[in-house]
Amino acid sequence: MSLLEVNDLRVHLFTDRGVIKAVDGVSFAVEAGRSLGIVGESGCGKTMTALSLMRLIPQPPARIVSGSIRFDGEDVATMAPDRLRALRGNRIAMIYQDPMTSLNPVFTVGEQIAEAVRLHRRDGRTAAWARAVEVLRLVGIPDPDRVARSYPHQLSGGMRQRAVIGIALACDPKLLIADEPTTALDVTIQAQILELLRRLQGELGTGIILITHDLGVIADLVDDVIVMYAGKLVEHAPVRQLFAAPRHPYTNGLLRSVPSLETRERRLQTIDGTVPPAHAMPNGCRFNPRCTLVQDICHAQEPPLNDVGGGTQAACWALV
Amino acid sequence: MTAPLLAVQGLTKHFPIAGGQVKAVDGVSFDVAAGETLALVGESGCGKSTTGRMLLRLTEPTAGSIVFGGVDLLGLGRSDLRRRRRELQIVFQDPYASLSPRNRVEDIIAEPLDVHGLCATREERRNRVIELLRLVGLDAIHLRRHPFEFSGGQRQRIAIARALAPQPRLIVADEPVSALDVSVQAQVVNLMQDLQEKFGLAYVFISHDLAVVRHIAHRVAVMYLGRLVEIASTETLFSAPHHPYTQALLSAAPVPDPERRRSRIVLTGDVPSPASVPGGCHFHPRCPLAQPVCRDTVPALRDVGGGHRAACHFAKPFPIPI
Repeated sequence: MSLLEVNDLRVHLFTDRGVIKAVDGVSFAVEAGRSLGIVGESGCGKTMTALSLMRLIPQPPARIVSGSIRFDGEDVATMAPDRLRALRGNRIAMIYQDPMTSLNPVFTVGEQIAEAVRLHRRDGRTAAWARAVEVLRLVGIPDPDRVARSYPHQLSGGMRQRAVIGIALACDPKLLIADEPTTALDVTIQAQILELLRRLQGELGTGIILITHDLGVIADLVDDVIVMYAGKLVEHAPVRQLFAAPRHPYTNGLLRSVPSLETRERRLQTIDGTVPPAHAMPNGCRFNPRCTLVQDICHAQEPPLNDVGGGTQAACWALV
Repeated sequence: MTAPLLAVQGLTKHFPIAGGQVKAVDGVSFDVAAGETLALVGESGCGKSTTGRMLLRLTEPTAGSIVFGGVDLLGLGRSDLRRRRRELQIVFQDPYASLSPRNRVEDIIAEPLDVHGLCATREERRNRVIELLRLVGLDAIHLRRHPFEFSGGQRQRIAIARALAPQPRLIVADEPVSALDVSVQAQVVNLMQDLQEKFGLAYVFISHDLAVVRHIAHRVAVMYLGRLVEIASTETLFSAPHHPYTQALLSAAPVPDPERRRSRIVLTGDVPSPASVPGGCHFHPRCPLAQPVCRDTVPALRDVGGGHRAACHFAKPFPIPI
């Protein structure tokens, strides 16, 4: 049994302008000690998917309308509130993009880590503080005793993100969800944080879900990838397979539009047009207005996710 | 050799703070030729945006000179400066913040035309705006719309059309594609290259994204804590970086290829606060090659061959050992 199994997850937003299908039938699994990347452009539903896994979606307007989220044998989608509280920050933890807004400015870093520990483990103050210092050391902070007594504004961006990861790890979560964890950081600091996540996955056996728009980060860290477009899962593949042989025309376009560090082409490949607005999705395949392989059926019917070989699943009529 | 379009010498900006000053930019010198793209790269706080703003005197330099088209901009009075700025435009990072939300696209793009009195009649003004919209891949139907009706990529096109309106010779582009999704980013990068070819524009392209820089720039200048640490042609900089900071920066950039998960040069520590920079070479506390001399003596930006300059006592064309 997988650590996490998401089946046909649907999250809809009920707005004045109608129902927006923010996540529309997404399924995937994460094994212990493995990592899954969720990649896609703004508005594709990747963050909404991640927030659903701990039922943190803004409710209303959002609601999980169907599907199951089985974590360690329990269904998060229908879990009672007190069970959910025991789960969040304990067995599943999350780190967010902006380390400044996810830390409380009026408490020291150590207090914030100890709070999570005391909440879930009923440890005494001294034990919780010791644990706080221990996790700060674990995330590679050189002087953990001092940093534990510091306020967030006294730390640099990279240090703050390490502290945020420290809070997430304080209770030894089985699953860590990282939503754009390095996007706000400089590239030399990003490299440090990616090394850290890799080490944690290897040493602690933590399952990781990494959400990012950055294909370089995906290629660097994860084992498997799902690609989302306009709320749909369009491709699911092992990372090497995805980069070596992308199958869905959207994945292909996405990979080709990234400029390379090694070679220099005269023009970058692009995907024509833009993502359609959420309340005006085309019928059939949502990618059809931008697709180069479009056929009649693409306007009429949504393509199912099919095995297309090499461990890849893709939702495209041209591959059926 | 003809004089460069833009020649910057010893450009410096010190911001006063309580108990001292922040040397945001500390004696930066470079040239940009007509029709050339020079990229300014570096991490947050390195002074690249401040440098870009100073080129238009949107931020007043503390010292230095900026000679543009043979005229030192720092010696100009207000009205002369305004006239000169017709040829020197800027595009900002955030297309949501740089376009006035209450104005229509026509008036946004026509603003530089109005400021410089470039159109005699309303009809001429409208035709010119339509021409500009088409140049950036938009259309006359967009004239009467407001910025909120556009996507991020389209807004950046509008900002580019506005910058193009007075027919500038140089555009400072400060992270122009960083806020855009990759597929849209590629469209805007292609557009900027097309426009450069068409009008012989020069760009000062400010970015932290090395892959985009590799694609668009002819030459690259790397900044660290207010100083230029290396400048070279794009090919040279990416194939034979001399400064250990440049080497680490290139090594840290994630490559979209899982077959090449690399052993990186992972720098320890963070970029120090610009308010308390280390003495000597600014990079020495993080540098794997640091020697006592690096703590005491600021390395000069010296020629290491063929116009390639690096500011390191031990600059050499091999990546530092990991």
